[in-house]
Amino acid sequence: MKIQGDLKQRKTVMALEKRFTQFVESPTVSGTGEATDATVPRGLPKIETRTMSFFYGTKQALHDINLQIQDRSVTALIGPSGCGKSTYLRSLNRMNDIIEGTRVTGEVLLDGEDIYASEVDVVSLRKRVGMVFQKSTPFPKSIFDNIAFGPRIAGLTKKTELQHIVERCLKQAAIWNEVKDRLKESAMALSGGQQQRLCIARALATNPEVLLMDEPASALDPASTARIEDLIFELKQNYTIVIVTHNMQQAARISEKTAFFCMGRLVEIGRTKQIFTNPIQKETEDYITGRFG
Amino acid sequence: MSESQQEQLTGNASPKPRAQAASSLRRRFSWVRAREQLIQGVLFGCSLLSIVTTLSIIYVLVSESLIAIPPHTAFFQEISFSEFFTSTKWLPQHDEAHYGILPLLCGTLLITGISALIGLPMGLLIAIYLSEYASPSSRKWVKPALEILAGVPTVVYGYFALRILSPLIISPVFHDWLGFSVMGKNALAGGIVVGLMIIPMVASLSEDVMRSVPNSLRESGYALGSTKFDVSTKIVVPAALSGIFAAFLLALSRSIGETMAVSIASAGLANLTLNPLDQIQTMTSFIVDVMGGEVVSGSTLEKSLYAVALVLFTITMGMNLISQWVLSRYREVYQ
Amino acid sequence: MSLQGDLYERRLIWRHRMGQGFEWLCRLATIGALAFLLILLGSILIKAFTPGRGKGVAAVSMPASGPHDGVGDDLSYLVSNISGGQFEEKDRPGIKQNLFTRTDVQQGKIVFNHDGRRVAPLFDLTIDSKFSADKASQSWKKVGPGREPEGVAIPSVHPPKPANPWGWLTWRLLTHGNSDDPIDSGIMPGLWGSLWLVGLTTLMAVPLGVGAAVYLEEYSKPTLMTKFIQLNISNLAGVPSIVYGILGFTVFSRMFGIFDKEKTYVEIGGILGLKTIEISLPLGPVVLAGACTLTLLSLPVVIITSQEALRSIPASLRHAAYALGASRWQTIWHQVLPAALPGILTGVILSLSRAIGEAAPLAVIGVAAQISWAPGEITGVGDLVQHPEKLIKAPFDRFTALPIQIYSWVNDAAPNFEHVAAAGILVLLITLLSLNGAAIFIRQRFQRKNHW
Repeated sequence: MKIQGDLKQRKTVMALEKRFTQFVESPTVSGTGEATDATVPRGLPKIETRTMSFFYGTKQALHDINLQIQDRSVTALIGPSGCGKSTYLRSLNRMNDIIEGTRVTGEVLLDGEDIYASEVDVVSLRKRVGMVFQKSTPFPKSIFDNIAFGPRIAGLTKKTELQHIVERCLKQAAIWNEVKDRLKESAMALSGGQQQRLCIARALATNPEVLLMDEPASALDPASTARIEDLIFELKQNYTIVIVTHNMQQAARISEKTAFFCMGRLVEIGRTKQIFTNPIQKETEDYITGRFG
Repeated sequence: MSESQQEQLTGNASPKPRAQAASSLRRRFSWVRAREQLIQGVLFGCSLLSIVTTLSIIYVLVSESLIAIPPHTAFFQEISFSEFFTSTKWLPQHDEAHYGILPLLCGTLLITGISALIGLPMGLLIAIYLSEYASPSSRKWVKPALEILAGVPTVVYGYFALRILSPLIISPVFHDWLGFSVMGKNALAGGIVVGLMIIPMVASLSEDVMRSVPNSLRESGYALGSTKFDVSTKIVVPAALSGIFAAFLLALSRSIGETMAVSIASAGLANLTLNPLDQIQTMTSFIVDVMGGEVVSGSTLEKSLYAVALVLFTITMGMNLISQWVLSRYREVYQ
Repeated sequence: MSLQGDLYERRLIWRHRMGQGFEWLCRLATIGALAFLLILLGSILIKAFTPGRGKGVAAVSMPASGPHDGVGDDLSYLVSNISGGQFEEKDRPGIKQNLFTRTDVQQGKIVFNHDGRRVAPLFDLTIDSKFSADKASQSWKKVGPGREPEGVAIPSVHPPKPANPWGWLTWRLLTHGNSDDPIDSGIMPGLWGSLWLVGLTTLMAVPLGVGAAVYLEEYSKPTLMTKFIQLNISNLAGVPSIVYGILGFTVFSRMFGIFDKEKTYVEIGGILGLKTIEISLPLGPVVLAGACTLTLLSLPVVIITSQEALRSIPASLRHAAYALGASRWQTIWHQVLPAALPGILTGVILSLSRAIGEAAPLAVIGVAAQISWAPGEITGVGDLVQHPEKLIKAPFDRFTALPIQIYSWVNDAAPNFEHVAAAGILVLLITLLSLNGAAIFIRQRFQRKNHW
């Protein structure tokens, strides 16, 4: 973050930043981050699901999913409609809890901890695992209030701190230059692509470790899509990203690993290049070459 | 579709020979079309009736209070505007009659204020419960119960206020405990029951607007680490705020216009007071009280009814118009 | 590894507590509203089935001798510290009378009104003699039935018997008209009046309302005019009912005062081979005037709910009928309306039951509670067979209605009228319930016919 001004101001800002980091603590930034590194050595998966199954009532939507997602990487989930990839994504931050009658068996581990364990607080889990939806969903508030929503409900009230977070997140989401002069205006007035980047910025404001994206660019025009893709590429320096997409070129462009889902099962996972050029499973090849779905 | 209906549908088209029908697609006079036109005209007339109603309300009120056809005089030709709106005495049946509407406005304000304190928060909380917290099964119970509450005639609310609420609750608490002097008919009892009366209206209107807040907004909130409380109060309610405001306005306009419960529970002397334990007179209860007795046709007293009704109509109509406008703006956002 | 920072964690616990607190607050509000409904209905049931205060009639026991038995002497009684009820003049019930004469008692002008509690009436008594030689006045403490001082003529009271021990919802209530005596009071005229109102209002409001809804939904284009009509209807729905009362009073009851000068009569009925009926103009507070007022009052809601019902009919149904060559009206009459009927009926019943409970507009057009006959004096099928012309007379007859009757009882301070009022409310609520029940029944029958 660029901070202009004299040294004193810089110091205050740094102190504020530090306070906030302690407040809405994030393992990836300083302080407690070291502890994370000590307990979770690099190379261990950030998210791991073991024999995970998912049920809507009696209907089973996911069957025995075993999947590891590496820290600070982009993992793409592809597959035909209704294959369960969105359900899988939503079960990584327990978004499906909202729907009545859903049930998960097996384990979903975040840094080695089962997120479905009874003592886990789903609210703080979701603060760590953010999510961006297919349809952009700006709250009918100002741009500033949209971004500040997460920090505010977490308990941050200092205006200066909020201003710094808003600026940082909007810059990270590459929308700062477009909206910096109208932070007080309604977010509903932004264009579709801007709204989606705003939603990404809003998700970043709670300092998540993981960012789940459910077809974030499917409703956007090619130019906006390209901007979002660039953004994802930037963000993977600091965040673990899991993205569901229908667009195979997109998966190929931005992800390191790709997982192919079909009929509620994980058919194949591997390096993106390998999945797209030399898939092991026949189903994957059929889907990628367009002979299926 | 039943067979007979099908026959009838095709029956109208079939009598003409085919060749002729094919050659005459051009419009020309036919009894069928004439009947269609007639029906459309009649139906249009039905919908015009609403306009006629509004116009006649305005005509009736204005012709008796503002401008009369010459041999008659209107209320404001006998009583000046300044007396009507600034005099603090409302004694129309007195020998030395005074027509100052302030006591009536004050009584109306008192009733509306008390009812708002009870009805609006409770209605909103119930709406939040129904829209955000209630399980489908409890919704199935609560909503019809609220409809019953809304369907109870207002005389029943008045009876409850006068015979139960006032002697068994208000009087023991405020008189026996706290030592205030409490009238048998008091504004508090009327205000409370009117507040309870508007609960179903506030709840169902606010619930409607809150349910029309798209679920995706709620999900986004949860994804940012919100509790259900955060989502309800910091996303759903603010997003539905204009709709809730409209619901509040409609409910307040209802309590301003409420007549029977207030007339039974609170109405007596037209005191210029804000003491909720005192008797008051509202615009509505004045009208119904005077009309209950014999009014001399053409008297100033009778005309004063129209003047008061005009004020009442203007206030409620204004509030309704504002809330309709807000609601239509709100619907544009989410549709 | 800790999942969260310490401060955040502590705050989170607080947030959860606050959330739970808020959820309970919402739940409490809901429970409160439902509890109020129960209390409201419960208290009315209790009031309606509470035995009333009994009326013990005072009589004078006349011993042969005593200090105050002078011939031609009128004793005056002063009573105080009364428990168990009060002495009242028979013609002015509810107003305490503590000073009266022996003649009053002997002539039955003074009655003892017992308050219904099962205690014997007791009172302190002072007797004054104006004309007797000794002119002495004499006092006793706590006299009453069985405790009369010997040799003294005092008002004795019959043992208290509660009025209507089985509650006030009696057959008498349903078959009698209004009366000054609560025990004799009945709601028959109001019940018939309200039924006539419902019938006539339905006959007028349903065709007009559904017609307007059909025009707005099926015919009109979104012009400025239509928008204006629509806005106007929504606003009319929020106009206070008393304003409709003023409108009805001026237009239907007083008829702008144009007939005031001389009594005008219109004769109708001759054409139908019935006896001719004279109708005086202006109409005054008759059934028809009330029904017209309630029609205007309920029209906006009927229109709005019917529109909603019509809107829920899929467009495919209309297109299918058009494709078969049906005209617009044929499509509406044979396809759209039958399909929308259940929804329309629900709305109509809802708004009409609102209208029946309305007292304010009726009170304003001048409907009075003192009417003691049913409209047209029709109280059974027999009346109609013998005098069919009454059916035409009824809409032009003066009448009273359930809510008006209840309103007058509620405002009557005399004892026991609160119980009559509660019983009257029960009759009103039962009437509303049965109308709603009928609507639900009809709706379900129609729903079974429509499948798609």
